[in-house]
Amino acid sequence: MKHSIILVGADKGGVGKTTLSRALLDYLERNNVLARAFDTENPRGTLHRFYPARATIIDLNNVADQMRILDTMDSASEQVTVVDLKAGNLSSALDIFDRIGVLQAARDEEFNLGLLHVVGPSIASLDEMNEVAKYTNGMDYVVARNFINETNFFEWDEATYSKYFARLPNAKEIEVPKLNEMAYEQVDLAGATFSDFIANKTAKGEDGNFSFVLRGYVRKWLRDIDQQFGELDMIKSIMAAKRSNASGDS
Amino acid sequence: MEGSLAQDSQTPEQEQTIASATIVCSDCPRNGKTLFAKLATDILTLRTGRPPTIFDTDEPDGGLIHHFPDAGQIVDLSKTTAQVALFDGMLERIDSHFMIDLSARHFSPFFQIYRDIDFQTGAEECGLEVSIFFIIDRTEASIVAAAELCASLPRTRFIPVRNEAIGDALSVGKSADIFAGMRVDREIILPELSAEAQGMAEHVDFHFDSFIAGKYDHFPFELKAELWGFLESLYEQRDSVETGSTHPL
Repeated sequence: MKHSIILVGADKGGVGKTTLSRALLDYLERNNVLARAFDTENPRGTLHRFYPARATIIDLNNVADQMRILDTMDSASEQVTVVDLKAGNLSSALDIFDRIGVLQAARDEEFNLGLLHVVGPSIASLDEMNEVAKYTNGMDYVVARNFINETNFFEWDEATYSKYFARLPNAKEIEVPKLNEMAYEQVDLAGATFSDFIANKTAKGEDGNFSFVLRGYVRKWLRDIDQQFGELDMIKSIMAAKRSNASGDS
Repeated sequence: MEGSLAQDSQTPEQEQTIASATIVCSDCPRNGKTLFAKLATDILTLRTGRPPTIFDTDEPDGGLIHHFPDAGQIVDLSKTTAQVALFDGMLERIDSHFMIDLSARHFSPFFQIYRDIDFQTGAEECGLEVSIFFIIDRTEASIVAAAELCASLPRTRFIPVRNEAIGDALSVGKSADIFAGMRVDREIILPELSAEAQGMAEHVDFHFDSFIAGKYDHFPFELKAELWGFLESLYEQRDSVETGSTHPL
């Protein structure tokens, strides 16, 4: 089975990259897809806080760390690598990957490469999409409009956004729905994965005492976002490969 | 005339301890919802020996809570903390009864939350029996709202209430056809009261459980007879399964 790398990034901070990475890892786990993660928010590592066993903190400018992602794909037991890119590092990360031949290797179909580009409500996010477009040939490019910690207010209007979006060849789009603020805070405080929080389990796997209402909000939010993940080509191909592997094994 | 009502007043200790949540709601205001909630609260008090915990969603003024000032609280459902207090509160106190007087403006948001958090499953896991009493207003839109709510919560006990004081809810447009197509556990018809009896029933110092217990013997005979008739009419609408249960009506 061909390995898949999914980059999650944005050039603006605070738009929900790590939240989306967490939701994605959660989705893959619930669908029995083995995934590893790299957290480039060096040295702190927000993703690592929620997935201490699965997410490795790396410095993407460090060659050794680049090798940890790219040179271990074939030997890794996991079929999927999720890379949560540090805030403001999307363009530079893509530039690094371009220079070291990663993007070309993806175009040559040595592995699958996807990019979840999280955009916030600012005009700057539209310019980011333009900036990123030059790298997206050969990868599954998905614009993730993030409503999670905002209201429905976006600085840009739909017509303007549509014009920008139309310029992106083969781009797909998802919307990260709004999650109740208190529910979001509670999960954050708990340091648990979304799935564990819903199951009323703490980060240590012990029985939790989380609110039914807040767990319900997270369950609904995750269900909505799962549905959108399930419609993405990059996810479909991962699932198809998993099914194919499973039938081959049996 | 007073047989079944008097029997209820004498046997609170025999009630099952199963928890219940009664939601009294309507998509429209001012159609007798709070009076019905008061009646249901009084009868539940009569059966269980203590008033249910009340959540009055008519924030900030309150409606039902004025009739039972010590039995609950006004909650502002637009706040997550209040939603937690209400829904989590019901699941955590598994030996209690709850009465929710749902204001018309919170009707849609409340049931959106109810569905979003899958409260019905939580209630089933905790042994909490939820009943929805929907007061149908005299518009086709109200019947449609009732039918949609009923269809969206197939595992929740749903009882439409027709208040004769506001007219025949089924005489408008296609209301009767829509009503006939609804899955309902049963329906309640709330008889119309005279202005005097209505005024008494709505007075904060009047309670149906006290009335059944004979605490208003000084009332004029005609008024007492009318109130007894009103209550008997409601009791006669219960089916045999509900008699003696912790369902309020």
